[in-house]
Amino acid sequence: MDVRSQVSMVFHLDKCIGCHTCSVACKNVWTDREGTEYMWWNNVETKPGTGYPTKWEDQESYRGGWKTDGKKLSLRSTGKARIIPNIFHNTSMPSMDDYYEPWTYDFKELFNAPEGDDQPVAVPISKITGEQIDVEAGPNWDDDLGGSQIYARNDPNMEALTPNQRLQMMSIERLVFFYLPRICHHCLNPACVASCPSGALYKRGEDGIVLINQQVCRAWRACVAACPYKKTYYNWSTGKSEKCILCFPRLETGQAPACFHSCVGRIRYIGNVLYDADMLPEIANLPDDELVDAQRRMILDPFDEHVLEAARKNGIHEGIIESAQRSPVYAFVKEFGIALPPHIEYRTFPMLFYVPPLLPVMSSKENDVIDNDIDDLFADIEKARAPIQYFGSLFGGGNDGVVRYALRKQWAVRLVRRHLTVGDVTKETAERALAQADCTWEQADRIYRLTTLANMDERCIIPPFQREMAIEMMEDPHTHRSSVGFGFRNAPARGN
Amino acid sequence: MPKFAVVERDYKNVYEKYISYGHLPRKNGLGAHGTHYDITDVHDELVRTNPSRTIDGAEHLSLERARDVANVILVLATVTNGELAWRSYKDMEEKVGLPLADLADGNRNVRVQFADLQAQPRRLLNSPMWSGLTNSGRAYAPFTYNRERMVPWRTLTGRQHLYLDHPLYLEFGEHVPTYKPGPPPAEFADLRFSEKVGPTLELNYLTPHGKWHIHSTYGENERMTTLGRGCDPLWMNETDAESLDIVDNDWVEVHNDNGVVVTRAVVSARIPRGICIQYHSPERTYSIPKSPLRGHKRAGGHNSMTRTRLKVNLMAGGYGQFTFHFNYWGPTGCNRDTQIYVRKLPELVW
Ligand code: SF4
Ligand code: SF4
Repeated sequence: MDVRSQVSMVFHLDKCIGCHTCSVACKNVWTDREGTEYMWWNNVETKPGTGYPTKWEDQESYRGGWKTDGKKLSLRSTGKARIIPNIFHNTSMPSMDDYYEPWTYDFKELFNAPEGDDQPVAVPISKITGEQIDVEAGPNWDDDLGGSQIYARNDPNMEALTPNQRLQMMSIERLVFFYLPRICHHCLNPACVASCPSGALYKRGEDGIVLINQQVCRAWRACVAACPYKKTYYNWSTGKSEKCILCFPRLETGQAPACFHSCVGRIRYIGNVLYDADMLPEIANLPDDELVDAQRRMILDPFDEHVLEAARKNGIHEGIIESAQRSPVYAFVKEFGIALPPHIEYRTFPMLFYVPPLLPVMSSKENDVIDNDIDDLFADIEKARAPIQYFGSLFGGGNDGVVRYALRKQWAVRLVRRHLTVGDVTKETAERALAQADCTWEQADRIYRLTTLANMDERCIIPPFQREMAIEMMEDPHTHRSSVGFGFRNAPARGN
Repeated sequence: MPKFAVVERDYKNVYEKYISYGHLPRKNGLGAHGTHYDITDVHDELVRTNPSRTIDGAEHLSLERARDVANVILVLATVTNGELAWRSYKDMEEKVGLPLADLADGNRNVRVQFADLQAQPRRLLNSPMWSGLTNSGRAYAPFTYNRERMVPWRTLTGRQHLYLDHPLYLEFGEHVPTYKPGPPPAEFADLRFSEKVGPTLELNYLTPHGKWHIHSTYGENERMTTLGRGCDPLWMNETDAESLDIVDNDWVEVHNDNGVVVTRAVVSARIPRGICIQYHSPERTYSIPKSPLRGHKRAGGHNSMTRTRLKVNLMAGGYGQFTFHFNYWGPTGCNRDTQIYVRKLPELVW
């Protein structure tokens, strides 16, 4: 057993209101510089939709992540052997068409226009060329099902549905959408790290945060192609790639990452988990639909004596063990089993987990009669407007069972709360629901509490970072505003 | 018959009055939402310590500089001057007959001035002017004051009203909050003179609040225009759009008797047929092309197509909560929807 600690995240999707406060917080703190205009280390997507960059989930064309022959993993995109042939043109690399051309407006015109008989107006201009442009795309173009014909209908997860289901999902009566906020997943088996010919990317030993060393990066952009979530970005000004740094300067001073701290819906949880790195080789080649369970097996019980002994042997500090024991991520992923990794079939083993949304489907309408059928306890989950297969594709590696489990348990918790607060659900019904959803009263209470009442100190358990020796500790994290994530003591510049 | 009052203007001193704080508040006290508090001592202290102006021998607080205005507001408001909040609760105690001033006990010596806000944001203090209780860092939630301290709601019965028995409401069928159908298209009478030019569709035009802006505030900055469509678009149904050969992000021209909008279309399954939405409210400063139908003049904003319609039942008055108060109760514009024509924009001219 090789026990390590990993800072991990849970996003509770039923709580996300799609306000994009998180995206703006991250952008204001980290990517408000030349060359980073188009970088959204945090973005929020409307699902169904094609996301950012467009259709990032379509690995047939982007070739991100790992593939397996059943015995061995290899990168789909940029194995080291493929670098040379692809050096001038990598067909799976996203281009500006897949992102967008950043723009602003010519506001000077409002003040400087010559006198005339009509009102002047600020026209859109490119932030790259400074010329007037026709705005054709943006980082959140399909917000709230905008352009649904082009975007929502081409969501790669729709492939898991029958043509009839697809049609139904887009009819106005059943129409449904939810938000998917995304940051770097700080994966256990990061494809970006494996792909870099210069070895510029690394996963920090003490907490698992994945970073790009700005001094070592040589603009290969192999990580951009290899990351299946498209969460590394190339800075055209410095000639280096950059990515979400999990706000490590904030974490190291005991603060939640900016996007977590600012989240209006309080959907974001952070905490470390202990995992067994020895298990990775043996589970990495399992069939897609076994991966969610396998990844959960890797995450270890932080109260188990054997685990603790192995952790101490590996030099994991008591403070880190203690925070792993209080981790909300451990609770959601392991104990409750209701948080799931996105697209685990990419085999990078992402350490950001999502609680799938129940969506506000509470009743079905048949023959103009609204039917709140409490007897058929979980019927609504099966009849829900977004078919379970859709979530199976997104969060289950094609395994609908793990999604169904998560949704049923959440539904059972709602019935319990309904029994306790409104009283129109009997105790007997609530208990039956709990039993069928593999949940206890006590667990239902904890899920309820962590979902609805938990304050900042409960949602964000930040382990002590033991970086007393690091010079960064001595600095105010605010001094790093607008600086490149790593190696920030040198101002980023081309050729450095 | 409404009450008329004769107002005499002293034109020679209009500007001087404009930049100084009058004496009446000192005499009458301040208040809103049924609260009242005396400010004599605070006012006199301000005259001594803050910039002042002399008109006809009397000293007045100066409102000449923006900063001084801010300080006068902050020192005289209950949410930034704890002593005044306490007085205001004392006044309410008399009306309600229950102890309330304890809500401000801990704040009596707290004052927030402009320089404090320059340094860092501050929390507003508890005040009976608002219905939320915010002591000890509690987040604001409306009506906690009424519910927890038994302060009657400011209605005829002192309770929340779902049923309004005012004769005007009964007559208009608006006495209970249930679904009311919209008026039939012709009743809007906003398409009497407009003509269809080329393939055109008549749609019901709605202008609700957007999801991340309050009018143009918070929406019209580089972050949010980038996270949106770079303009304030017109949302329309897929089938409606298809009938006009409009695809997502095409420019459209929207018009009726009142005005014209030129913007991009967002074509979506989310919008039912027969309606379109433009979220309010864009400024007419960015991304607004010219309108071919209006002789190539700059097109308008969402309110160019709607007009003020006084809603009669909102003119009910003198009856409990239906009592006129500026910006609180009185006839509103009701200018949120109408009928329009939409067509694909034949040529884009900036
Ligand atoms: S953790 Fe920090 S760097 Fe990463 S997306 Fe959130 S705000 Fe940005
Ligand atoms: S800030 Fe929170 S609620 Fe808002 S979009 Fe981001 S994740 Fe969702």
